[in-house]
Amino acid sequence: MNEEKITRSSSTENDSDLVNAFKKGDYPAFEKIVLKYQDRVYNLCYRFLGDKQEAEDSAQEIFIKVYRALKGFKFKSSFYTWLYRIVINTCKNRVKSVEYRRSKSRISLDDDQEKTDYGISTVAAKDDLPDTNLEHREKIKRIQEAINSLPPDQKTVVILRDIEGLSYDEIADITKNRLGTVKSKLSRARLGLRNKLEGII
Amino acid sequence: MECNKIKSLLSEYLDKTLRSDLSRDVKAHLLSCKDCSNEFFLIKSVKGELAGLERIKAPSCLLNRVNQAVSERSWLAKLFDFIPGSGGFKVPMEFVTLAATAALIFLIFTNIHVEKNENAMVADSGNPKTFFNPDSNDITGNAGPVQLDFIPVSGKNSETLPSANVLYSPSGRRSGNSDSSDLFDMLNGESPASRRNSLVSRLREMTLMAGGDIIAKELENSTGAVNAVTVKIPSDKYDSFIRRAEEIGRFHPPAPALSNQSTDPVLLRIRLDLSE
Repeated sequence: MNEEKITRSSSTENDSDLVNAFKKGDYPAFEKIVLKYQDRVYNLCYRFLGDKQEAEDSAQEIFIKVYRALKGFKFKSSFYTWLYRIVINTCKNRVKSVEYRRSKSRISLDDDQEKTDYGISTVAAKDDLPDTNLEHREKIKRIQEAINSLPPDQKTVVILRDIEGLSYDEIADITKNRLGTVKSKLSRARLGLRNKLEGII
Repeated sequence: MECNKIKSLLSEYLDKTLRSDLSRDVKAHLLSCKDCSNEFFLIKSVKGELAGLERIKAPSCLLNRVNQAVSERSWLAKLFDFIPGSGGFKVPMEFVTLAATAALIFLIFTNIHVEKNENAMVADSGNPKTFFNPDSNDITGNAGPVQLDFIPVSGKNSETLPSANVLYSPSGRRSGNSDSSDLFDMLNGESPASRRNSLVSRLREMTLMAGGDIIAKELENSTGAVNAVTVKIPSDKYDSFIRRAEEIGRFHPPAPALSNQSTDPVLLRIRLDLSE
């Protein structure tokens, strides 16, 4: 978590350089921004949506929004705060979309297909013992399902805090909530996860 | 302090953001209350599990997809990037308004023209009128009956919609067809999973253009890439959807023709074949 924070703070200057370069018509600066943030954006989308294809489509949509809006970016907040805000809003809208709901309900009917999600294959390769491997995969799957089941506002706060490692102040800035609201949503989210994951953690 | 009050403070206590006096009270309570202590360690475990989740890397094709989408934006959208206040080149507002109006009129007329052509094509087709005509279709390319499914659709009671099951693969370039060359440029050099996902994006665009919807995706177990999609296409747009899809790919067998009497939307399960 500390490493993440160091990376973010030390990259702020570069972000403004890249944004300013793009504003002056330097398109490769935009590509550098995409390359720099694509993993973070994709991972955030994936944890929010619980589906790789949806995460990829959302990440694409997010960077197109960034491209369109970057010329008007006034540095009232840091670039990554602004970017995270776009990510969260896009993911929330995605969840509401009819196609997403249909696709999720169809996929959830097929147990075999469920195993393809949640990044299990990457994690699985690290384990040698089949039983441990299976148990671990099941746990990861249950954790992602528990995240998926949270209300969007609680999900946002717990992902930003416990997965992305952001501070309360940063989360309040991104979600435009008061600090007390962030704390209470986080508390409820953790309690919800604790109830859903009791017995497997 | 009562247990309920303590439990409401555990999340902040865990993050070490509680006021020091409250933090002392919580700590003292946890030492003496087994129930609250268990609760605290469970919440702490949840936090630990979330922090330890694998960070999933973005697919390698993401930058290409973004670049592709940005370059495909219409000239009008790009023009709006430069409207006053956006930080770019300044264009007089009168010019922007005039250009937008002209574009709107152009789009309306183009749309009407396309609709007329599509209606004429449907009216001219002399296909037999019961769902599909399967005579000329074959999954393998050899003689034999076409594989047609009938998938029950929820929300329509026990009714079924006409549906077909086809294999789809991107085909060679068509001269002068920018869609086709774009697709091949896009698929070239990508991993199989990325190529599949790019192809699905194209099918999604064509489906939406036809007023349809992707109602299901089937994923491959090992890679998570999309193996097949099921699209729902309004019957009056079915022919134009097939025509557009055939500009950049081939159906095996050829997509079945829709009967003239059918007014129900069509379900088409399209399995992706990128083996070529």
